[in-house]
Amino acid sequence: MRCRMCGQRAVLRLKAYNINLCQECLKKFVRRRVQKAIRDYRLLKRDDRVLVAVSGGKDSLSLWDLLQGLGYRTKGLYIHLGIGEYSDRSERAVLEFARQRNLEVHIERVRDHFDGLGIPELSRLDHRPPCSLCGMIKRYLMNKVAYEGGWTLATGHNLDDEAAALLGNVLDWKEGYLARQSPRLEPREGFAARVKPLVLCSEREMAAYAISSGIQYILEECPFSHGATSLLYKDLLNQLEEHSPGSKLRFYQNFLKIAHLFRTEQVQLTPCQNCGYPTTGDLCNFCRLKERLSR
Amino acid sequence: MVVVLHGDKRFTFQGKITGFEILKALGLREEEVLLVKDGKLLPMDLPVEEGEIRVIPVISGG
Repeated sequence: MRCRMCGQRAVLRLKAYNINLCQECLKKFVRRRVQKAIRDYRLLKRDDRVLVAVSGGKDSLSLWDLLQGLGYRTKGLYIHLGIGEYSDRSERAVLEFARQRNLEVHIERVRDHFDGLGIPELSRLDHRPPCSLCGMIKRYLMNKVAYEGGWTLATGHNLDDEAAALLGNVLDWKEGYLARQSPRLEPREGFAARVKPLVLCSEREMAAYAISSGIQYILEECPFSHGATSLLYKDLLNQLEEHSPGSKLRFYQNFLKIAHLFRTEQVQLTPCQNCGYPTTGDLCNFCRLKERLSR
Repeated sequence: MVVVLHGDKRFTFQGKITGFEILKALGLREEEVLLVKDGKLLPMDLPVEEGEIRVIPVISGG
């Protein structure tokens, strides 16, 4: 198996593009895919300050590496979820990555916002699945830090993440979610701009990029992710991909061409009476959780 | 002898074996894993006779 670009021995076969790549050309390939996403979906301007949400995993650390390499002004944002050793190990991976490259990281701790409670305890007390609680808290904190600092928030969602989310949204025809599923969400009052520069890169390409670039990411999965529906959707899409290479990319890219059909008038939002961030009710979900816990 | 580490499982193979053959033997799909030897991606068609190979899952999420 020879590299299509340089003729060296290839390490990765990408059936979706009908090419084989060596380690060095794979890194160039991923960089070009990211540049293409940034250009095609107008994700970033040259002078944007980019806050990269990092978890310690392959996607987010690779994204930070790529954006930094492409010359963007970046800073990392790590949210310590309070999920035991898993969160501590993730934090160490992020700090080590930043230290090696002399990059700055902002750290938010869920426990600092909820009287010393992490996601597992909050989930038990609020009788709510940990993943839904975690998602809500992360979205709130990421947006708050980005908005208050004037940053564009970048997340490491890759093609597999987006295709799996799309499949889930289509199966239930969740029009509201379909309307908001975009590589870029524009900034508005109370909301920072949010971008997903990895949407044209598969999960496998990102893992290969991380390994080829010597990025020390954590392989360990969140202990709450076992049995997640998104993993089932990813598996189904990979079965499809095996029989029809390029399916995931076509599914996602063709959706983006018609995504405007799902967009309707934005829901009227008002400032949360506690924190001031936009919400549909009197209190936002984050402050409502705090209020429930304080009773 | 080739030792393949997949999660907490350990498999051994005698004689030359390629990455493609390892995936087939373990019932894994190419789209879902990478093989790493000595910290580097293993060319899937390269016959390997000895050493330790790690199976790296690429699917994550929840």
